Amino acid sequence: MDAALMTDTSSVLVTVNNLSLGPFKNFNIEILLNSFTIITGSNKSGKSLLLKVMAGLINTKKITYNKDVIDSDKDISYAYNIYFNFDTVIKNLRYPLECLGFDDDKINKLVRDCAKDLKITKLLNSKIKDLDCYERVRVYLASLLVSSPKLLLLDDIGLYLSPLEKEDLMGILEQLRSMGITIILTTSSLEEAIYTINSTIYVLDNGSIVCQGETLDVLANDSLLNKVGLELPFMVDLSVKLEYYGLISKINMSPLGLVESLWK
Amino acid sequence: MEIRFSHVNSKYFKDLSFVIPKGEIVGIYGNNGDKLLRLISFDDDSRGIIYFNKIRKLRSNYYLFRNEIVLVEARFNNLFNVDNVYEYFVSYIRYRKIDVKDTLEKIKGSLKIVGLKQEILDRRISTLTFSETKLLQFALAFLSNPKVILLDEPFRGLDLKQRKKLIRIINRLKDKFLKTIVIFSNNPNYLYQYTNYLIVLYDNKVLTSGKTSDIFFDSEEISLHKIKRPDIVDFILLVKEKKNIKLPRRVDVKDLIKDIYWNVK
Repeated sequence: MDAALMTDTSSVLVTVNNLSLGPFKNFNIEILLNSFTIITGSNKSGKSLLLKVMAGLINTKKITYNKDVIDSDKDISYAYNIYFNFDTVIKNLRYPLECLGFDDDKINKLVRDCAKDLKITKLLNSKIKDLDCYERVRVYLASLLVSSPKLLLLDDIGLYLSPLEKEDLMGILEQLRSMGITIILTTSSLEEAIYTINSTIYVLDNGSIVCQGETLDVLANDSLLNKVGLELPFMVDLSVKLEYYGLISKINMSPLGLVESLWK
Repeated sequence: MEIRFSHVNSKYFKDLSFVIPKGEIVGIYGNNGDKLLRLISFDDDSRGIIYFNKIRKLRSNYYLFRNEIVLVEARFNNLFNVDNVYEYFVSYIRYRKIDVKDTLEKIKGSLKIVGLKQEILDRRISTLTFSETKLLQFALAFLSNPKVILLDEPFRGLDLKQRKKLIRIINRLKDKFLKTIVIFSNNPNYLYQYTNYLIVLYDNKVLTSGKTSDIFFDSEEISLHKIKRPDIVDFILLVKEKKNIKLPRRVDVKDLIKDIYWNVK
């Protein structure tokens, strides 16, 4: 917690100050510029509500953005429910850019670049109804990202994805972050967290932060997480418990490495 | 209720044959499993031979099965554009033509099964949290007292406590009320933990079916097509392959830890 307090104000992007709403009482949180923040917690812990507040949709007085980075609402993209206004992929991607008043060449270039980033180039001419779940998620993300927002808020976007798809999605998000986008993601399972590199995790329980820090530091608190109602990913759960019984010396997330270190 | 599909064709599937045995929690694994649920629930049209409890489904006897099967969708979609929860319940009862003498009592009973408080009836659907919406979907499904309950990704987004509660409800429905429960999920961990019988789809065909643990541990088709196994099964098989140590088939990590402890010590 000290690390967050010590940072100078220019590197902070979003500040929530003294929020009292729903389960939250005098709640404070700071999101750093160009960070990947994962907010997790049990059901009814208030994670979606917090994300809504940070997206500037409710209780706007309690929230401040860094004005140097976010100067208007178009720099914020908030994904809550996957929906599409148009029935083809390309129309959904072009629409935000057309609203921004760009010329046709620029729009085509931006759409192509964005499609490449999200691996949907082949889907551009398909219809939305022919896409599967993961393709829809990527197309929806693309439609949020073409207008190059500075802050991306995602409310459990990987909910219905399979483990392999989740891993791929987290890779894409890491790549977006390296392009300078600050990402805040809420999730109901910890699976997403293990696929990210140096992200900050906040664990919420009934409107207060019970645990925060880097991925491995948070995941090592297995009893606390279980008490909150979160299930650890299998490999983490196994290595944390084996470490507790003194069978291995450090947490190992690769199955092969773990087997080799157990039976030498 | 036993459901038997032989050589059934539909928009997505060709020549589909499988059995959903009664008295088991059946899992469906693989791409387009949600579409298979729609097929079983009659929402999608099909051609072929389908038996429900040894009665063949024909165009003329649809009415025998329509109310016996209910599908709980992965996402809640508001059918009636109504925001009040009580209003939604009543609209649903009228829409499904469910024969109810005392509406409020029936709704209360249904809420009690899933463990929701009565106060939820005064709330607006748009203010419900994800887990409350999910439980509301289950409460709606139980109103018509169906014999077959099809669940599309039921465990997604639920924390451990809620999931255990849901599993307790499902087990009670199976044991006490002899319901047939079919669960689709694309997460093999959930299927391994919570289902007894598994149907694996691959390339819009039934690849294999049988007891869940047998399929994940022994099935050659699964390894051949590189279908993802549950993490715990992967680990047990890896130990056998690399170190030739046979660990027992476990579902819970705690049991696995004990086995490893005795093996390593």
